[in-house]
Amino acid sequence: MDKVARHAQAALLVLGLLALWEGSCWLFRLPVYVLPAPSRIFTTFIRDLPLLLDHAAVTLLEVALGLGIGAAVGIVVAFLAFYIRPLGQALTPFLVGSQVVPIFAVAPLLVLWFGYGIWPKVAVAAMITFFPLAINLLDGLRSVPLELLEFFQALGAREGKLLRLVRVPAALPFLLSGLRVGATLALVGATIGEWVGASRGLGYLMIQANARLRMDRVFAAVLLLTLLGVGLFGLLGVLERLFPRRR
Amino acid sequence: MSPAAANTSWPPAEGESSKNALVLREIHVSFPRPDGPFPVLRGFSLAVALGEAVGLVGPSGCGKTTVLRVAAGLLRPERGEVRVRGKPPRGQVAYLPQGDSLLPWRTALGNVLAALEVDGPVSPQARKTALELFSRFGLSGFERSFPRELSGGMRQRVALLRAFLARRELLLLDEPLGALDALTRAALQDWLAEALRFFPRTVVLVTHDVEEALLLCDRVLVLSPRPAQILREIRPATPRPRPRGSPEVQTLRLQVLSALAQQAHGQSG
Ligand SMILES: Nc1ncnc2c1ncn2[C@@H]1O[C@H](COP(=O)(O)OP(=O)(O)O)[C@@H](O)[C@H]1O
Ligand SMILES: [Mg+2]
Repeated sequence: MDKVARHAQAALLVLGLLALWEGSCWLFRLPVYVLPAPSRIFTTFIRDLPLLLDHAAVTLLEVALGLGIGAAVGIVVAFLAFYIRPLGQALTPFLVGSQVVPIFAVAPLLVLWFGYGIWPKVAVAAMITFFPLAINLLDGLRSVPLELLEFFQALGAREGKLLRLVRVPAALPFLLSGLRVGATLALVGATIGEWVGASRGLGYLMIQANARLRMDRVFAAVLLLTLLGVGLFGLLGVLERLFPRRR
Repeated sequence: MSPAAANTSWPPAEGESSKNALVLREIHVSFPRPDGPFPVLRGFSLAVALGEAVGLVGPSGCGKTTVLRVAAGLLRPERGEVRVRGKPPRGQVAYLPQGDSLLPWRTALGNVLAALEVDGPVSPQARKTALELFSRFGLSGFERSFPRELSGGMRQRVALLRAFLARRELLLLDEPLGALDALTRAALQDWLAEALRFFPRTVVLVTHDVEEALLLCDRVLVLSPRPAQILREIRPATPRPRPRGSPEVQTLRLQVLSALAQQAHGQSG
């Protein structure tokens, strides 16, 4: 009951803000190139949907590739850092420090190196995925409780068995929450990569629309990006609920 | 410690390695601390005969868990010898660690089968046997429950059943009933006595419940504060398991408690 009330409250607040926005646009006769009204954004969204989806497909491809590559490298690095102690010690401050580096700022450099195709965006998405995932997984591997391991070690379980029986299942929720953090940021990262230089993708569409003062289209792209982000977050959330931290 | 040096003093006497399931000799363990090494065991020795049940009681922090971890081959002593049936211990010991040691992502049955998976794939026959033991040991209906869904008593039954099913001669139990309320603990003590009849094992039982050790063990060792030494050895005259509240158990309990109290007094005074 309480939860329903809270959701209703949030929905009311959003509706109220939208109404305020819509009202201000009419009242002050704001031109579309300054601030389009929500109703205008919505009609543009519906009308331009085929175009938006066309570009979204490119952005999603970049995100999917970036997530896949970033996750694969992140998993390998986390396991290496876990098993090779000096490597782990050397990498940990680097991994933690990387969290405060704005990887988005690297995007222009990547475009310079990899050109205008999808690869610089894939690289940004991969880097954004890699760091939180590697840190989380390494943390998960390191924090497996000793009493879970020692029962199997005493029975003579070798490292491979320990991995399968204890370490991997114990660290899986950490990996998934790292992936969830990475996935939404990767979407933003790919879009920013497209701002810098691209011929397709939602970021490219935004820059084009912006140049033509089509702010309604810019906002429609933002709306779609938001929906995609929520969808991605939800999808990984479902995965996470399948392997919860049961502790 | 080089293997060659170990060989010169081992085996010490014909027969000792065959009649003893566990031998700890002159074990030295210390942990590194910022202010220098922190000695926990200094020349600790213990021999447990095949089929014997030995209880270890002692003040907390004296090194009981450390003794078990050394005996299980999980902690390498700086000096001293560890032999389980005359061989190095690793792989021969069912060790139930202190605290919650069940895998939280596996069901009760899954946890028990995990112990078998260490030795290879689990056959359908082994699975069937495990299921039968669930009902025999008061766990029917809980096969598919996750540890967090079980009461403390049920969780420990699963953990103990897992340790028994691991099929190792030497069973090391670190305060297996320590977290339970008095009533549940009494019930589980009877349960453990029954389980030990069904699965004969050599047991080292660490407990802070003196009565528990006296009910279930052939021999109870009273340990000093750190570094742990054996202060007293108590051998009840009657065979285990003993009835709760028997005069013998009560008399011996007072003896053990006074030995522990004397030691605590000696420390503070
Ligand atoms: N891995 C470790 N590192 C540092 N100190 C430890 C470690 N394990 C145990 N100790 C210390 O050794 C002493 C004995 O520990 P333990 O064997 O767990 O005692 P007990 O089980 O009798 O309570 C304690 O003071 C404890 O703090
Ligand atoms: Mg202990």
